[in-house]
Amino acid sequence: MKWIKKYYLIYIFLCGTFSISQADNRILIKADSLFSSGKFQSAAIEYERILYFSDTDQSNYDCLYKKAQCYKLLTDFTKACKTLERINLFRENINNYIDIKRELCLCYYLDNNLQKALMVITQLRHKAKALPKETQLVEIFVLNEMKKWQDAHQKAKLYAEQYVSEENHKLISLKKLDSLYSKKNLPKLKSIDKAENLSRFIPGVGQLYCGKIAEGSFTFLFNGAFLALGAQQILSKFYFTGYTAGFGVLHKTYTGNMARTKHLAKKVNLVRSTHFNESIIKYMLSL
Amino acid sequence: MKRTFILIILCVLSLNISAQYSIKQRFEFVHHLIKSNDFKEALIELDYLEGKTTSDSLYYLKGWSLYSLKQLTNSADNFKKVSRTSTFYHKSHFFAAYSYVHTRNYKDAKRILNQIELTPQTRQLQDFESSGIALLERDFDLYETVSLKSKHILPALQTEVINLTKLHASLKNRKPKKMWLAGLMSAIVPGSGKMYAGKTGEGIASLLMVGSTGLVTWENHRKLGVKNFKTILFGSIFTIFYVGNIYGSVFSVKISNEEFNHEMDQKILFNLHIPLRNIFN
Repeated sequence: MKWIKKYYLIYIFLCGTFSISQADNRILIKADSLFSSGKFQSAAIEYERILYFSDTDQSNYDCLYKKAQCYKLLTDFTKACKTLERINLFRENINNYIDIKRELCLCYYLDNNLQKALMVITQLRHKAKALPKETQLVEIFVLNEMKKWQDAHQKAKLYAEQYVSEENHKLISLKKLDSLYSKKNLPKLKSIDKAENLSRFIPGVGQLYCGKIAEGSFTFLFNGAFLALGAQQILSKFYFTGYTAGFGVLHKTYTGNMARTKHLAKKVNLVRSTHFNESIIKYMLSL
Repeated sequence: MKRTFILIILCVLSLNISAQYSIKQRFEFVHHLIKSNDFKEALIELDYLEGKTTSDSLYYLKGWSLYSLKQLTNSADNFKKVSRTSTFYHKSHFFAAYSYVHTRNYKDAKRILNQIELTPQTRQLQDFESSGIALLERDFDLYETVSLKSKHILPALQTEVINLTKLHASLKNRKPKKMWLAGLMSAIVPGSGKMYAGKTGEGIASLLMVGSTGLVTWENHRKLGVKNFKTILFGSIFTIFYVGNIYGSVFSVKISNEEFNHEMDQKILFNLHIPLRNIFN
């Protein structure tokens, strides 16, 4: 009887320990299955729950990493960045460190936080022997967004040399990159100050500088008409009419036109750089 | 053999039981989510608990999450479900009243405040909140009746009571500007109606605009006669500006009054909110 009791106690103890460890795994499996079925919000909650109730470092990394993936897929990049920032990097091995930083710089880039993305890439470069493939791409895109075309060109060439294996294909890629980043193909950005100053001296020329010929011509004629009206009326001794209907209206259209030119130059720059960056992203992803 | 079989069944059951979290653990987790400002996630978790428990914590936490997400009507609906036995009772009901005040539902706010079971400490807070509502409704007599006048005002209320008294004085002493007077003033001297409404810059601009078009019309009328096209054109422009300015002055008084009232309401709401946070947080 004594032996039977001992047998039961050992059995219960082992089963209890086993069931507790299995419970954690089952919840992780539940979170993973929610993730794979596309229920990212619920999966993120389950990962947070595991983090809250668990003490082990391994589950910390796994859950935070997967939770960040959930937010990334929900396009909530700010929360994805915050989640990744919670991972204690001092405890992680080099492979995990690289994975975290790789995801973090991608999320910063997607969150339009370019300076932070570059900072993470610099940290990663110091720690890892070579940057992961995805991070190299992100670095090129970030440099493009920051309009550092020359640096981006160099990095893009290095990327092509490293990852295009076939010699012929490599040569073609390098040539294509040279042509994409050639002076002729680079977005011709307009100087905002220059556009404003041109409109200051001759109304409408700022629009011509920004490539809006019809608008520039109309503005020139419109302002010119009021200037002429003002002068004509004053010469005809209609002083009040000349001053008010001519120069008064001209003053309004003249200052409004300068503000419009400034806005136009910014808009043109944005369209051109976005178009250029998109062509680079498309080509780099096809390599 | 039979006992071993029962033990195996118990162990399999224990696997399922330990894989599920208790209601208490779930509430702890919701607290954690709220502390981390993950209010949307907290609401999802609370929705799961909705059918499983009718605990006061459920309504309090739901109300608080919704309040933090600025969904004030839903927040108040949950807050007021918290029962008297709960430790969150006073906080919930005062915040429910405040949520209704913020959505301009003063009737429900007053009803909730009147139904709160009071302690000596919360009685002052109730009077203070009621006086704030009276000010928001511009019921000055009621304000004077319910406002705190005793010398022993709670420290958490002292500054805000002074602020409400100042706001009451500004509201009471301000004479609302008359729309017809602004219109009349602008008809006599263009732009003066806008200056009367407190928009001096706009008034000067209007005066210059109407004055200059008037001068142009007068000049053309004097030199070319009343039937000339230029006189008719500038005369029409002058008339449009002149009438438009009178119309604008009337509306600028209306806008000015609304701006003043809005500013005062925001200040009152701010002062009603501060003691709630100081006392209950």
